[in-house]
Amino acid sequence: MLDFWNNPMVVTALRLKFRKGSPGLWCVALVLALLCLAAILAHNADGLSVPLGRMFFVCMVGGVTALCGIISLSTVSASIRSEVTERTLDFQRIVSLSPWQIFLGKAIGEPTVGYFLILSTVPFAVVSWYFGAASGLATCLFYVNMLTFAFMCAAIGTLHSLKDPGQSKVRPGQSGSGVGWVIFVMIFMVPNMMANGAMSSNSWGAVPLGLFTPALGLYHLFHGNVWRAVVPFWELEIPALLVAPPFQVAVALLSIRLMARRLERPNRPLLSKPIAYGLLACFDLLLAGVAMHERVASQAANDVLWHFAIGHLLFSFVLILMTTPRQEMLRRRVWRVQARRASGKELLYADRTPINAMLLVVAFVGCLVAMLGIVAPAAIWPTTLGPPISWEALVEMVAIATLVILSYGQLIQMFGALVSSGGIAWGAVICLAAVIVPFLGAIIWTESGLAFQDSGLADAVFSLSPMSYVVSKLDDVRRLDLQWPFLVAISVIYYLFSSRILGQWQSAQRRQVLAKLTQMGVLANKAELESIATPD
Amino acid sequence: MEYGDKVAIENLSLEVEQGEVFGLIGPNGAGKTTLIRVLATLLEPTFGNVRVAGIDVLADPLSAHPRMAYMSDFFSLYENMLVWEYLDHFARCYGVEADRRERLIDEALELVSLEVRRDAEISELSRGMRQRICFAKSLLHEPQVLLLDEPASGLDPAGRVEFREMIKSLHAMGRTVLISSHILTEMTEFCTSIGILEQGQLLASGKVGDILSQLKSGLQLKIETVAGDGNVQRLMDLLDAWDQTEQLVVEDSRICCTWRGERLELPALHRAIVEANIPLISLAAQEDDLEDIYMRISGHKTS
Repeated sequence: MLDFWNNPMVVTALRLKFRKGSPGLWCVALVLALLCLAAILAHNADGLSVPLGRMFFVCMVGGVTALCGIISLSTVSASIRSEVTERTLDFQRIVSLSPWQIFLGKAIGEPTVGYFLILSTVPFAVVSWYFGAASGLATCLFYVNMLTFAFMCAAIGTLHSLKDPGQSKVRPGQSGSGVGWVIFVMIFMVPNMMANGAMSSNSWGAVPLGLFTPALGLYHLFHGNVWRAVVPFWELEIPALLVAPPFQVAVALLSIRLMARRLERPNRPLLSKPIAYGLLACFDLLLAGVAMHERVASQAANDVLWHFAIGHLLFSFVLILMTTPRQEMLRRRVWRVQARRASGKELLYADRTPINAMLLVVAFVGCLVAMLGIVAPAAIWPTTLGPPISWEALVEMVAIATLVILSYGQLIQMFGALVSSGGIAWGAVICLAAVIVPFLGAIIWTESGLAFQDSGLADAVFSLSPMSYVVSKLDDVRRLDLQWPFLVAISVIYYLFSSRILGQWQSAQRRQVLAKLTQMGVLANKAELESIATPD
Repeated sequence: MEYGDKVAIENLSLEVEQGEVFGLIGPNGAGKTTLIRVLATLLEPTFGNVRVAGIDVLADPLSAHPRMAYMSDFFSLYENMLVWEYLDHFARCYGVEADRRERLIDEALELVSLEVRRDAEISELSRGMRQRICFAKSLLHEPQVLLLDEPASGLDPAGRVEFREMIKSLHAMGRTVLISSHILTEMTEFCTSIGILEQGQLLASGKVGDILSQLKSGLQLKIETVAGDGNVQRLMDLLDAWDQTEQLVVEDSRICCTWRGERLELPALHRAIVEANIPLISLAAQEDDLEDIYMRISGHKTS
């Protein structure tokens, strides 16, 4: 991985960019813009609320970070898109480079301009440091952060559909919408979050801001102490400038890994099951660590548990959507294992098996992290959380979360199997509707005092979604009166209905494939069957 | 091999010997491109086994890649690159050592007669030149197996002749070539074996000579006489009386038929026509070519 200088993708990208002179032009334009900024700030120095050097440094780092992020994201995304639509990627796919090297090369080589822009601001940073804008360590860490942020944006830019344009039904521009969203978040959401001070104090919002961007560090640098930008983690407060670079590199490498998997076998789900388990465990640990920090967890102990449950469930659904095999993948597996039923081990880790076993693992990981990360610390080190979490609350949370995961997960798998294209999208829409509607409904309910509040109608509507029960456990929406037996009944109905439909579909596929194999005379030839590679 | 509900290739078993030039023949939608893309590891078959140069391409595609080259009918090059940059990029991608890279690029450009365009930008080149660059790129890493999907579709007549010579020289070098084409008559000139693909099924395959001798239906005769005086009818009666003639069709003053007899028996027929006082303008005999055989096997009508 570190030998990227010899990666042909990097060599060619650098050669082309330098032949056209674009890095030089961009750098000259940026230097001129920074000189203008310095002149304007110096001219208005008396009216500034912070020292001139610091103001200049914050503006420069913020502006260059955003600019490089957008350049990295858009150049890599445009490059991949052009490779797919022009079908030049076909030639790349059959060279001696591994898919990992191809995408790593893209993420490093294509955003060359962005990296050079960052390096061209170093003299300005040295001058700012000399005038006391930030300490030497903080300045260096900001630069590391800018580079890792640009790399992360570039790696996210590689996430693209590799569907053959001849077969793809994707409308022009549709696949680029992801990039648009990221740019939207960078341009509008981050400044908005920073403007609302709550997001940049030690709260839930500070965590993603501190991990994904240098914005949290800049915010606190602007207010005088960059080391107040921290990511809370149980009793620890880790400086955001230290934790963000490795986190961003990890996100980047994960994105590249996902695309490498997609390039190896475009028919596989985006995420493998083992990677999904690992990601969920990491996310849950982070969530538990943040939830248990005394400044964040100002709620009662049981509420911390329910906040954790909501975070765990939402992330689980994202992972389930990325891991669920679609109809074609399931059918291919039936072919390649000659209609044999998947073993328990295969259900746990193989890509093209249904997600039944994965749902249990997802539920188990949540319970384990809740026990080790929330219940045990709350019992051992009772701080401001009040009384330790009760066993009843833990059992209730585990039971409800498991029911929600099983019922929604099985519904998603059913849609994935039944609908040939876009099954996952339908599943996502239904799941989001079932997850978000009760969430929003509960908020509207508590805020507005609707007329039908006491009629029982709202309770009945929300009861149709098992997720409502999780939401109803939060402190501020407890006025919803949802009953346990109804939750169990609804979840079991969802689960059994989707399991039955899915089972029928799988049986029909097995019968069809067996009939076809018998007709082809393949089943009689044991030696040939053994030589056929089975899928992962 | 399935695409959703559609079966692109079904129950296909095919083996190409090392050093052969195998021609894949079939109409549009027969499954030629799908088969070649499966061999090139660009598509994963629903079920089955694929080996290229002895390597299971489904289990270990990365080991198979250096041994194969792929070229498709629909392709694009990187427009903003120079010709040598493009070839250098792929030479690096295939892991060609730095000291051999320059020499191999020059040799490949010489083989496709594009040495003078070495420093030209690809966007300035004609379609034929791009096709040749693409072909040069396929040869850079000295692959054992070449998978060529309609490689000559955009070439002019001179380019086709040149291309044919290139395939012949690759054959002489011992490379295995699998090539699909619509131009069936050309295929007999450089293919050692052929396979006829129709609706995803392999209808026939084998050495070109074997296929032609097994499947040719006989000589096609075209006999033209002078119109009027009942000449056509008398000729028709005469031909009908011979056991070796079949499928007689009258076209104005000409009769077309299939000759099931030996070629050496034709002078006897000629003599019989002359002795019957039927004025003969011409008698032409033509053997079935690959196109006729393909049309017959696939159930199409000869144009």
